[in-house]
Amino acid sequence: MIEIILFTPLILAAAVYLLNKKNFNAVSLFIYSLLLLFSSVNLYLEPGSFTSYFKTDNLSIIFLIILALLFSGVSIYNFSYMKHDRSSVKRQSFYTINILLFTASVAGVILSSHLAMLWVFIEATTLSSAYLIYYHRTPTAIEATWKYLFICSVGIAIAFVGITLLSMGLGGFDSLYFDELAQKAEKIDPFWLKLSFPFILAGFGTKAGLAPVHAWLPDAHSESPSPVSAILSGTLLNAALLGILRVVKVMELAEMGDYARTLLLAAGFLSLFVTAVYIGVVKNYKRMLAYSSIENMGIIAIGVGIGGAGLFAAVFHLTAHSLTKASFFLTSGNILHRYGTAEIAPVRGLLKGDAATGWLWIFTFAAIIGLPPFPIFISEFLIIKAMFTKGMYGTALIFFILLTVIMAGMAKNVLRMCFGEDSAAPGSGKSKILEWLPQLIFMLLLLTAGLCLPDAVRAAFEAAASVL
Amino acid sequence: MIPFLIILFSLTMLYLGATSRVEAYIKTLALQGVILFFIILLDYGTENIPNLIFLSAETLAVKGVLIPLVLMNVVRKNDIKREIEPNIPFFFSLIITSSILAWGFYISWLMSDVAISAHPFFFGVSISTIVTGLFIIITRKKIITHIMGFMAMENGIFLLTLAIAKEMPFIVAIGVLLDIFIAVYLLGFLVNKIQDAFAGVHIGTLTKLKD
Amino acid sequence: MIGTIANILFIILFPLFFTGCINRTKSFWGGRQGPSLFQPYRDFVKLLKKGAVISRTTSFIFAMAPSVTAASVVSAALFVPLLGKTSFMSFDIDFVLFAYMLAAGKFFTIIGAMDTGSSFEGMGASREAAFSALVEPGFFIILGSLAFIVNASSFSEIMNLSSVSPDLRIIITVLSSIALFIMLLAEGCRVPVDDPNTHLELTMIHEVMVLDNSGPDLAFIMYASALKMVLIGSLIANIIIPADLHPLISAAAFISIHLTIAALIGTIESLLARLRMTHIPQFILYMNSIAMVISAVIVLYVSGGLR
Repeated sequence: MIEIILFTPLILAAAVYLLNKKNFNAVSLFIYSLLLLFSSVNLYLEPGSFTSYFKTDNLSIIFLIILALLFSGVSIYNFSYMKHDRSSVKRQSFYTINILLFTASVAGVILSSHLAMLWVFIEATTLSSAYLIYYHRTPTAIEATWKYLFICSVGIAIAFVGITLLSMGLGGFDSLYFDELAQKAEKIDPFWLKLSFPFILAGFGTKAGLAPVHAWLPDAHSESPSPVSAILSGTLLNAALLGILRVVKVMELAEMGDYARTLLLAAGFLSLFVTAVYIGVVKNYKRMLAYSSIENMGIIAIGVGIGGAGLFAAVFHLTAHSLTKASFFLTSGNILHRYGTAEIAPVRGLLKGDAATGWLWIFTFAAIIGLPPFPIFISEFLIIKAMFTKGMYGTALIFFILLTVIMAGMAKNVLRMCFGEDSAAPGSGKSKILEWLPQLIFMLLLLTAGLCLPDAVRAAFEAAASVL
Repeated sequence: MIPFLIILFSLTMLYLGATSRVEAYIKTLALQGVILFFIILLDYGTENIPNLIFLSAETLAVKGVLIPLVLMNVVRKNDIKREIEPNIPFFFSLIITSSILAWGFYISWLMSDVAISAHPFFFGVSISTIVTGLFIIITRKKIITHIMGFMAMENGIFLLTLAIAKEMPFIVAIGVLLDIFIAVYLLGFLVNKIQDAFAGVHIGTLTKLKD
Repeated sequence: MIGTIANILFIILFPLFFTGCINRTKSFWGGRQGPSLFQPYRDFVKLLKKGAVISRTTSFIFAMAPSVTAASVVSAALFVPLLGKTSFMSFDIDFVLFAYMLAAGKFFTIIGAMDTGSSFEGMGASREAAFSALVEPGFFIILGSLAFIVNASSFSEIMNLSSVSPDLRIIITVLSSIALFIMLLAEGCRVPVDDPNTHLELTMIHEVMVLDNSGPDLAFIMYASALKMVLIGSLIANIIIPADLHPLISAAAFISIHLTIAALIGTIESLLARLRMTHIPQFILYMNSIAMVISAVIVLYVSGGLR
């Protein structure tokens, strides 16, 4: 099963390159998404492994299923997105190849059971996504790609320093397999473990979008095409976070859980603070969404940092955020096509102009800020409850205040865009079915999860949380 | 002999922290590559000869020759002569680099009772090189010097991996992978795309995306 | 006895020869035949025969400053180990007295220059004071670290590095030589700190202070600056030469190191340009940074018990 996930993209990419046909590009993405869905469900039912470097466990299977769902939705949306796109067939083929390789790399990160292999795959994601951000070739896109490449490379290098420091503390045994690290956690020299954690947090946190190393996120996610933004926000940030979570687990087993959790809390709150500052003043709605990603990554980090019940909340929030944010970004693609601009000010009257997109926009916004019955409400509620049980009342208060400020900032922009008279050029079309169907499916899934979470799903989340 | 080479390496970082001539940066990076090559030769021992040959050849070829050549090409093609006075004047830059180096030696001293098989200098000098590389990235304005600060940080990371080369040789190989990846991708992108869009490779021009 | 006489002859005769070597090296790089190696001696004698012209606006300080400078440098020479690693006098912590003797001489040069009332000389004086102030901490750090590691504190014992492990010895020798060489360039007013051949007053540092001196005063000043260079060169030579050599061999090594330093100074003067005035403090700061590295290395070795 794992072989399918990892090797089919290579075959499909070669096919895309050789065939170089417009239609086949989008179809190949759809084929891969089906295979991904199929394999991940299969792996959920019976965990598998491939060589010693890749295997699934309760935590990574959740990430894998999120990846599969998200990718299916994006590949359906991609059909119509590619119709709007005016670039040459060759560039579109390159685009498809890079998306395939990128998804394969993210799957590799999720599935890997060896720390260095995880690191290699994260590097691979940076490599493959650089072209995707650069796709539209405007000067701002070049600037965004450069910042992305450079900051992520520095981050990767720092993560490598962290891994090297960790291996210095290993002493007798010399393997970085996660289960071996977990077993022998007490034998690791605490000095090296303590020294390596900030580096690994900073390094992988760069890719995960945790402040203060988030600087590339607003630019990269806003300049790339909408399907790409959806995948980046929905999967890449999660995968990088998985790297951090694995090391946190090792720290936990080595009796240094408090130290790791304090750092995570600090990074989480800093992310919330940064978002609260900027989200009201952004002029570009895609940047606004990118800042919202930073905020949600911060919330997940806080969830893990609280520990206990917060872990379940964190995993739940992760899933909910991926689907919501993907749907948000795909809808923003519709707005971009209709109004021709990514700025907030010129866009007005979305509900009157294009009802499907408008309502999706409002509902996704409601989902992302945590209104019931959407699941993000549940996860934020659980985090606050966990804070109260641990007696961290001050922290909960700050959490509340920051979330409210962020909600206010986003609400101002989103609602302004939806109401009023339609400001698009006359004759702009409405969105086609393929442009709102994936988002609708995501929203329905989220509603179901929020209203009545099936027991099997809840058990899966709890199993994942218990891995941590 | 090895401590001497490591100290020489740290002196090159001092020079990097204070100079403003871009070609001097490149030559210093090449010199660092050569010093690392000698450190590998002297430190490795005789267990795994093919690995040793591969590592030393890669270090000399990529760090000592290839990357400086490509950088020199970019610099000459764009006629970049000097780094303009950065946010922190060069004088204070040198003081800060020296203090980072001093802090690195302090870390070496803390290391001397922790049991690792490498000379404690490795650790202190490499950490200070990494921090100095970050410092150069933060305080310089031109994109090309950002890349060179990153290369210096890479050399520091490589030195760090050499410290544990005996126990985990594959970590050094991964460090080499990082190096080559950076060289190919970053420089490739820089040389092709940024040059066309931004004639001056001045970070001041990369300010369109902000809030 | 023989050692003392050799040292006296060395102090009196060698500095001007040193200057001659530097000039000859510069001519070599310039593709010229150049003046003879003994030309500075002839200049010295010529200047002694002339009368001094003393401005009416100066006081007695201007008249006595050159002599005081020369005297201070010669007294400082009493403590430095010269040929065969012997010095005239040595007592504990004499390197501090050495540094401050030189500083006293420099002080008199500065006030002598300011005494003339010319603004150019005042400009040069302030620059000179600033750059010397930067050199001082580095010098003390280097000598202090060496004293720390040999557990002694007078020059002759400091220069005896045989009790130090070979690893450390290479590091200390190379780094101290580099740092002291930078100090030589700064104190001796050579390129890249100051160009002795420049005739533009705005770019002069040392030359402008002695602009108004003539006759025997100028002769003594020439001699004093050359002797200062030789003294710092002796410090370098003493660090490099191991202590347990036969006196004749070590004397020969000593003189050859001096000649090498002279050739090196001449080469640097021919090949490099003088640094911009604002970059000179940075250049001198390199010396201090290297000194700090030396001290860090030594402290590590001694207290950390590193291999």
